[in-house]
Parts: sequence; C-alpha cells; structure tokens
Amino acid sequence: MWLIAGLLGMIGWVGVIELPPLLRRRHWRTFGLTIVLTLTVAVLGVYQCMFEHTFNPLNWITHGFRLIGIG
Amino acid sequence: MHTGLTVRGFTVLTIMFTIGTSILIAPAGLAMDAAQDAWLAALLGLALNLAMVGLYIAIGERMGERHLVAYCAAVLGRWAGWAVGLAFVGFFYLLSALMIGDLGYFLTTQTLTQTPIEVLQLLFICFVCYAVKLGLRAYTNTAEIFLPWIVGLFLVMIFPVFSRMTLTNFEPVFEKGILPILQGGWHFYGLQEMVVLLMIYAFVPRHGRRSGFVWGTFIGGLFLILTTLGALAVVGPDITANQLFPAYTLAKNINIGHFLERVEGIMIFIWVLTIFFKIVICFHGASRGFAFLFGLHNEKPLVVPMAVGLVVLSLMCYPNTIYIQSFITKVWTPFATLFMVVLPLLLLAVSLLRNAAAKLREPGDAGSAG
Amino acid sequence: MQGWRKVGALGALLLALLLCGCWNRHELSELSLVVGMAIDKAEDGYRIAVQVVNPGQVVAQKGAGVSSTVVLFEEEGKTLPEALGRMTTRTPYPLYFAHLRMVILSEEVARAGIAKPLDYLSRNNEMRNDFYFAVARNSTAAEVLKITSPIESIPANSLYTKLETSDQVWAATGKITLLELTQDLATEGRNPTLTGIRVVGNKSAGDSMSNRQYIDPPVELVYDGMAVFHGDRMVGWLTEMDTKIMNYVRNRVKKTTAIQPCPNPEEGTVTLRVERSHANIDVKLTDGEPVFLIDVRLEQDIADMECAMDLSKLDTLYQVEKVSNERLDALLKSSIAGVQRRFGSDIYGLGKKLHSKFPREWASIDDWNETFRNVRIDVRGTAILRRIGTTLQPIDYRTRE
Repeated sequence: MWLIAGLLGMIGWVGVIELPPLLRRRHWRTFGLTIVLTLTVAVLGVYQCMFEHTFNPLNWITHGFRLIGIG
Repeated sequence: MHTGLTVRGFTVLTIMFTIGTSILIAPAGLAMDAAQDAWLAALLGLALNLAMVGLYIAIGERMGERHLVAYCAAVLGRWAGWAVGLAFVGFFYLLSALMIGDLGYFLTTQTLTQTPIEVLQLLFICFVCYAVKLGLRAYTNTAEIFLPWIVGLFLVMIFPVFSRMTLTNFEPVFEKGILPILQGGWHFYGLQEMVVLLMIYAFVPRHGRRSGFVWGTFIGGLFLILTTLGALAVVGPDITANQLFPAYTLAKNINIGHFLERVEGIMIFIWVLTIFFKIVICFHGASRGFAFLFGLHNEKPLVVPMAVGLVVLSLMCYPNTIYIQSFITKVWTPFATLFMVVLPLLLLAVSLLRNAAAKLREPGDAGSAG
Repeated sequence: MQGWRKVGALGALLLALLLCGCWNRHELSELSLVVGMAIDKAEDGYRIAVQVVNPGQVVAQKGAGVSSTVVLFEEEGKTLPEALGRMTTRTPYPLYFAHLRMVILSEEVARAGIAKPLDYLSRNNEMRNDFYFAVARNSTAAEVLKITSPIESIPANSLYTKLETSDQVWAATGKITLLELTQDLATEGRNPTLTGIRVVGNKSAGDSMSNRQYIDPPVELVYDGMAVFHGDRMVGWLTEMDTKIMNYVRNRVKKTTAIQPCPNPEEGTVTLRVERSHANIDVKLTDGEPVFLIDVRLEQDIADMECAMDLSKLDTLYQVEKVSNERLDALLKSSIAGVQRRFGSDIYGLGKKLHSKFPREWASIDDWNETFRNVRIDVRGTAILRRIGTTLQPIDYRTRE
C-alpha cells in the first residue's frame, strides 16, 4: 500500500518537476526515457504489490550459476 | 577535469564505501566459515581487495577523463562496449537495490519492527535522490563532514572490547587449516565491490589518487578487521556465526562503568551512514552509466524513477531473511567476481592489446584510445 | 531566497527525523517495563511470570506504599512467546523487555533442558544479553518473584545488585549473563553453571509490602550454591565450597573470604581475605592421554586471627601461609575430584583448553564429559600472605600476655 503511495509520488514528481524543463529544452530522448522508466517502475511496483511473488532476478542468477556447478 | 573533488574526498568516499554494508554483516559470514580464524580470513579478504584495487588503478590510469562505462565503449568498440557497459550498469543498479534491501531488513529486524519495510526504504531513497542530484562534490563533502563521527562512534564501540575480551577465543589458531580461511576471505572480498569506484576515479585529481584509492581501501578494511576481532574476542566465534547482525551484538556490550551503556541504538548511526554513502555512490554510478549508454546529456531527470525502481527491485529480490542469507553466502561472490575481476581484466587485456597493436603498426606513436 | 531554502531544508530534515520512528513509537506511559521473568513448567509447556514495574509507586517514597512497586502477571503457554502473548489479556500495557534484569528458572525446567526457552530470549530484538539467571532451589520460579525486598524497591533490581555484589566479594555465587550462558552452551569444552536462589522464611508472607516494614523481614531471598549442567540439562547442585573452587579455577573470583584452622588447631580459626586470584589451566599429553594441571595463585590478607600467636614474628606468618597452601591444595583436589565423580560435567573449561592446545586429540574424543570423569587433574595451589590489617598482635595473644 505504501509502495503505491510512493509510486504515485514518483509519477507526480516526474510529471510536475522533471518533465516540463525537458520539454522546454527539447531534450526529447531524455524526456522519452524518463517516461519509459517511470512507467516501467510503476507497472512493476503495482505488480509487486498485487502479487507477492514476482520475477526475482536473483533466482535467474542462482539458476544460471547452478547450471555451471556453483551454488 | 575540474570537478572540485579532492584526493582526500575520494579517500573518504573509498573508506565509507569499503565499510559499507560489510561492517554489519561480514563478521557473521567470516565466523561461519573460519570460526576463531575469522580475523585471518578478514585479513586475507583485505589483501584480495588491495590486489583488486591494484588492477583497478591500472585500468583507471588508462581511462583518461572517462568513467568506467564510457571506457568500455572506447576500448571494446561500439557494440561490445555498449553491452559490457550495460552489464556494469545492471550490476551497479542491482547492487544498490540489494543494499537498500539489507538496510530495510536490518532496521525492521532490529529496531523498527512494526514499520513496513517499503516505507523505510522509500524514505531513505528520498535522501539518496537528493544526494545524487546535488552531485559528486556535494556528497563527497558530506562524507568528509561525517567521517569524524564515524571514527568517534566506532572507537566508542571498540574501546570497551579491551576490558571484556577473552583471548582464548582465538585458540586454537589454524585449527581446520587454511581452507576455511580461504573460503572466508573469498566470501568477504565479494562484499566490497570496489570496482564501482572506477566511475569516480577519472574525476579525482591525478596526483595522489592512486594512493588515495589504496589507503581508503586499507583503512576501511581496518575498520572491518577490528570489528571482526572485537566480535570474536567478546562475543566468541560460535555466537558471532549465529548472529544476523554481529556488530549490533558487539555494540550491546558497551558498558563503561555502568555509566555509558545501552548505546547500541546510537551505533546504528554508523551503519546507516556508511550504507548510505555506498548506495549513493553505486546508484550514482548506475544512473550516470545509464545516461551515457543512451546518449543523454545529464542523468538527473532519470534519478527519481530509477531510485523508486530500486525499492521495487529490492522488494522483488528479497522476499525474506533466509533468502538473503542463502543468496549472499552461496551465489553472490561468484556473481560479483564477474564484474569485479573478469570484466575488468578483459578491459585491461583488450586495452593493452590495442596499445601493443597500435605500437606495432606505428612504432613512433603511442596508441590513442585506451 | 537562499535563506529560505536553508530554512526549508532544515525543516524538512527535522520532519524526516521525527517521522522515521513514528510507526514504532512506544509512549513511556504506555509500556509495562518487565524487570523479572520466571519460567516454570506447566502441564503442556511453560508457566511464565513477569514482574512489571509500577512506576508511580516507585517514585512516591513517602509512606509505606499503598500499592506494590511491582506487579506479577502469570500465564501459561506451550512456548515462551505464546505464554507472553496470552499474558497481554492480563497486563494493562504491552510488555517491554529491554529492562529485564533477572530470569529465574525452576529446577524442573532446568533439569528438563533450558535450550528451548532460551531461543526466544536470544532471538527477540528487544531483549539485551546482560540480564542474570538463577535457578530456584526450594520454590517455584514465580514464587521467587513474589518476594518484596528491603531497601531496594524493585525486587528484581534487588536480586540483580545482590548478585553483582556477592559476586564481587564472595566467590560462592556466580553471575551469568545470557551471553555467557549461550557461549557455554555453544562450547563443547565447558558446561554452564547457574546460581541457585533460595526463599528463606515464610513464602506467603513475602508477597506484601508489609514485608518491607520489618527491621527483620520475615522472608528473604538468598543466593545459594550453583547448579551444574550437562549441556542444557541440570544434573545437580554444587556446595558453597565447590562453587568457590570452581570460581577460583574459572578465574571469576575478585575478592572472597576463606577460613582455615590456626597452626595450632585447638586455638581456633584464622580468617583470610583473598584480594587477588589467578588460575592457570595447562594440559599435557602423557602417553596420548591428556593430563591437566590447574595452578591457582592467591594473594590474601589476614582479616581475623583467633590464634594466640606472636604476629610480629615472620615465622608465624609462614606457618599460617603453610596451612593456607596445604588447605588450598587439598580443597582443590577434593572438590574437583568430587565434581568429576558426582556430575561428570566439565564446569571448569578444561575441555576448551584441550581444544585450544591439542585440537587433533580433541577431535578424536567422542564424549568429553565421559572422558572428563576419569581424566587426571593435578592441582597446585599457592597462597601468599601479604597484609594483616591495621593492628599487629591478635587480641587473644595480648590478652593472654
């Protein structure tokens, strides 16, 4: 629940404070990337909140190392 | 490049970085591997770190004014360099997320048990964002300001050890031979990740930065060795191995004449600070590297979403305490070695080869890139 | 504008400092400070009693005290934390353990094994590891916490300071913290011992503030001997003398008092104050078997001389010293042999020394406690007499003259 609040805060901050200067200075790439990152984090965050077991990169790493005999 | 960063500032950052999360959790792992020889394992780990620092200095001196990710592109060419750079960025980002996770679990286990972990982490992330946005020079100055605090509080923690230590806790030395010490040292060195500092190295004044890097690592390592020695001497190897946060247990024993006691809460200050700086440095490196890879002029707009992403990633990666223990003891060091040893060696090797190749082609000129 | 930014930053910082602990805030007036805990055995699990401070009564020292300074709450549960959880149906405020001073175990619990209840005490983040343990000798553990104490208004504190003081000047008790106890349990070469506590007097009279109104309180709590453990199970009690010897060997004696007969035994007894004591444990391998040498060295002063002897002569001093040495040797030998025979439990830490010095031999021993029963232990006691107090000749001597 608090994570959602944090995510909303992030979206608000990015939208209000980060993006306008980028628009003004026409830094399109930064603008686009910021939006992409914000949305990715928001989606992942909501997903994590709703389903406790999301993808865990550490599991992939552990599996990978097990394949070559470590861990 | 004039960034206003001094060699001293860099040294302080290195000290903070080395102490990082290790001061809180390393003694337990060391004691689990090497029992009463844990201090020897710590010494070995420090030696490994210093050897790695030697490697990083060799690379660092060749980097010119580029940071590590930029250097990857310069040395390995456009596509391979980009991929390796992305790997590094991923590593730094993951590392930062895991450290946020460590901090969160520590606070919720030891003191603030009823607080939701994500609240602590989000609050912490606000400060990390602020520090990263203010820039390298600002947080380096902050580190310099806080260093006396850390040293002072650390001495308060270590000083009473002398009246409570049991030297027989260190016997028998070398009981199980050299293997457990090697194991301990190996796990220990994996927790330091000094390679991240190569993101900053290029911005430190040339004169004295090499010794700064070495001294910083050495002094930070001393803090860790002293903590391990203290824990072994007072708490004993068996109990230390069984604690999740042995430094906190050690701090509980501060009792100067029934006058200065129960101050372990203040000791948390040390750990939160060192973890903070390590996270700031790692995260700054990740965001800068990311901005470079995508050709952005400035990483600052990305900081907020990436920082919140750290919290999300840490929640995804660390579902419970046992998972953390299991992952760190079994998988972390081999994984980190890829980025601490393999890739840097690759960079150095390719750089040397290119230089040699350039020299062969034109015996008069030295190579330009790398 | 710059000034405002600084104010804003400072304000934000202060707010953040305040916010962090909000979730976990405990108002002081909404806490039940637990100072003592008693663990008894129940039909299925444990019966736990906690002694909680009643702060209002502690401060108001005038008057005999309308209500007690502490309150006892008892509850049963299969495990320690379950009982404590169930206890919240009785306590007015949540229990707060950071000020725990004493944990009393009943003999039944001690004999059944203390490892199980100890896990909660170790694992809990609120508890520290500097509280002391005691085993109740002639009562339930809860009954120990029901006795009021003179002078010190909080009984658990009184037990705490009593133990510390007697540990300082009288070697027949032992203050064991949670840290030391867990260390001993984790070390194979040393078995734990815990001090015993006895209720002297009419138990039921103790549970009342009136117990504090007497010059000679009808009920008292007295520390008596130490319990010997085999791992985490109690196997027996040590006598006062055995406890002293054990404390000598484990280097725990700071000061103590010892008596011995005069060189001419009919005359009476000499009392000595031991000011310094140091023991050294060494081990050698003879024919592959470990042989231990315990070397105890004491420095003592004459505190009381009943003998009619001329103390201005050096010879007298040496005679007293000689008796001291012989007696120390004999006591060490008999006490340690007795412990070997009766309990077969290494409470001295000899195993740890063997482990330190000869790790390979240590690794080849299966059951150290069994081996300990029969292992050869040589003792050497050295007592050095230094001072004699502020007068020279014993009054007995001068009177006879």
